[in-house]
Amino acid sequence: MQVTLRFHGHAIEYVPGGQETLTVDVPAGQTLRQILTTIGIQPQLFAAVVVGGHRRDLEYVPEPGDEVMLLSPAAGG
Amino acid sequence: MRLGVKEELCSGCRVCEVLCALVNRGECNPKLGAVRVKGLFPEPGRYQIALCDQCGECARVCPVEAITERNGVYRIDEELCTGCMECVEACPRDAMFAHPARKAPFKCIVCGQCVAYCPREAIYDVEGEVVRK
Amino acid sequence: MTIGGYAGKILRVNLTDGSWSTEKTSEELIRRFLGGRGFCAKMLYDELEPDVDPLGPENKVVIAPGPMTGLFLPSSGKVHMASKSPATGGYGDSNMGGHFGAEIKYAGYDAVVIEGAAKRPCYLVVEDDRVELRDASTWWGKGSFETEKELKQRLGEEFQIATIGPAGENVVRYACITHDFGRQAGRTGVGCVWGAKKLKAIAVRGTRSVPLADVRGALRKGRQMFEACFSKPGFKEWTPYGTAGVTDWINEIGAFPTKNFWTGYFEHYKNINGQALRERILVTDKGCFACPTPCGKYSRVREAQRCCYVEGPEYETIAMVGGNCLLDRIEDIAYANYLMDDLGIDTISGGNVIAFALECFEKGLITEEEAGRKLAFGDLDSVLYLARKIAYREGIGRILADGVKAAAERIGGGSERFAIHVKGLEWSGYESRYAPAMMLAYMTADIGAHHNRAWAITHDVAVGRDAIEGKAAKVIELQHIRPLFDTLGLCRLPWVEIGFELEHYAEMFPLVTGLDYTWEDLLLISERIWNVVRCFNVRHIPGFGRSWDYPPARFYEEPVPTGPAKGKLISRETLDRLLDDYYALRGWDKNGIPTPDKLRQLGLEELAADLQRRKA
Repeated sequence: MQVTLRFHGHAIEYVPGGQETLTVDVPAGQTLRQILTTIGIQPQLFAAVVVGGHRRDLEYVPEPGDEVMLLSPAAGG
Repeated sequence: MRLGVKEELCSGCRVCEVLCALVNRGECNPKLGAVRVKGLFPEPGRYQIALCDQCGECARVCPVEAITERNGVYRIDEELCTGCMECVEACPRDAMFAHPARKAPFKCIVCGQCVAYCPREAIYDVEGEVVRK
Repeated sequence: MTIGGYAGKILRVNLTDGSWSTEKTSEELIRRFLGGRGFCAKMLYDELEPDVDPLGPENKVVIAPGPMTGLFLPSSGKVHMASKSPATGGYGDSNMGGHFGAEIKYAGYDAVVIEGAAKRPCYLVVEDDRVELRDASTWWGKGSFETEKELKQRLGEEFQIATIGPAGENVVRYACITHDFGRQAGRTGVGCVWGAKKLKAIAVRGTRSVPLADVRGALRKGRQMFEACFSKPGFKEWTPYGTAGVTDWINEIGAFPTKNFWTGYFEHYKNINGQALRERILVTDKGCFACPTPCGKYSRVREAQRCCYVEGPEYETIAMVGGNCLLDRIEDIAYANYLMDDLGIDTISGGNVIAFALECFEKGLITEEEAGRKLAFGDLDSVLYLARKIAYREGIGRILADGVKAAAERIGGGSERFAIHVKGLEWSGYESRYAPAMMLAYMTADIGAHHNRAWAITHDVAVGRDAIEGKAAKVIELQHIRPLFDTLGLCRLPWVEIGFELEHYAEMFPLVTGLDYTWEDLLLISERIWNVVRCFNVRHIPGFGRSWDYPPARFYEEPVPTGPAKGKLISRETLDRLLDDYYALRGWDKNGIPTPDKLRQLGLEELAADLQRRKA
């Protein structure tokens, strides 16, 4: 199935190729953490996950066609 | 276009003030903007937005008839204005503004820039023609 | 030529004799140092002799917005305040949001320099060309909030006001300055310097316009910048929680200061995070000038005996007063935040010092008799009690008011091992034993252990937390980008938070100023400023060098006991390696002193000559 990952914030520089959007083919049933690890992105880089306007976390299992927003952590203060 | 405010959304950034002045008077100076944001702190912790609602009270009190209405918007003829400031005193919304460097007061002419750029959508077009960018 | 973005004048006020004067903002100063932090560093370097007592009348406070402060572009509301720091004895500065910086520009000034010291409490009123020192005895002793409220009533709503609280008056070394009922210039004790000078407050109102080199161009670009912010998902997702939103992530990577940096994970973090704040105590979002993503969360606590309004708590306060003192309710942290703001204590240093005292008590190094009562981690009353003792320099507060470094020297018993500071400035909200780049960032931050110069922790997570290679280069890169915001008078959070691109600022700068500087030119100036500050420290701190860049022993002797970073520490060898890399890349010698070649390369011939003179 296909899932679109949209990266936001300064952690984008660590996404291979510095791309803001990646569409990946993944087997169903994988968590976001597993998907990110498979494509070589450190899952811990992202502080928040938003799917369809709802807050999720890295244990979220995407559904086909999901657009997943991954947000970088911000520095406090 | 008709402007309305939702004060509960305002976060006090004053983008409206600085942008209004830049667009309408060509200067970077919030005190030349025809809108004012006032914070009510430390309590109750909210903001007030002083913005003209085109009620026309200014035109009614102007002794030289320098303020006239067209298409629901009141404008000041700076040539006619004597700078008596009676309209500033009379405005029920505190939305007629004066500045030491200007003879004539100034007010909102519904250009809609604040609607387009208020990050919080605290100033909006009641008729829905203009929305935030 | 007239350079846009600048008001054109610098105001100097002498508190000793009440005189004031203005001077034209020099074009050379602008071209070499831009403004804000750059003005602060250069002016203090030039104007302060090495033997100046931070609390004496010869010390100065430079308050400087930047060329982009107060303009129509995202988050242009910052102002920089600096002096010789009573916390460190070296260069000290702090950055503040709100509306104070913009108002200084509109009053016609690129900087305000406070000199001398008053005999009696006073406050400064600046309204365009009118400058006046007035008697402040009515407010001396009063809290920051009451002072600001009453000064607004007296002078008018449109005045922007900055004040100190009792802690500043009592020269607590880490006293802060408060503005807009909750914005602070918190770090390095600038509020302490105000207090030593008997300056209670500054009130500013300006009606002038700030000239722009290309008005239409700057308007067009400003619109584009706001539109770009609006289109970022973080604009909607990040803003509701502000900096408090990072609490979960910091715990998940095991970097949350907990129990005086004993560990990096606080099990109750969900009870003190951004969501807890938003759901339980938030009143309104509260932004600084021109900010589309207000991190300010204005809150209200309604509990028996403890009712308050407070801006915050933001992440740093949640970390330092929350996790670090083991307070596990957002309401408790908010109340402590309120009290410390009102007293005028920096919540970062304050939380750090209080946690240190709690650990000393736990270890028997401070007795119940010395403390005046029993003290315990996790006990709100202990925290509030110590905050008051510190602010009024009573009992144990007399020792704690001088900061953890000095307090550890007095208390002894090995307490210096867990006095968490660098250069005498208390560490802020990131426990970095398992984050070498972040550790190096703290070690080398020019004012002492502060996070904002290089927030490198994402880099550690991204490229590997055991890796050392490349960490120094990343820290240096960030140490040039991030302080550049403080120099231009901007807030860096749109870039950090929501990924707003740096290119926008590079495009805006020439439209505002008319100077054809590229982003690389601006970064070079930032490096120049970094070296000026390092030279300031060499000049002012006897024996300054490498040994001042190490963290406390806790971080290289005690492995993290719990949480995701369990078992990790950073060895002395690793610290040495990090510093070796860092100095080499910076063009500094092994002792961390800028080489004459490096200084000349940065166009700092006068500093190179000065350092060589001192060597000889």
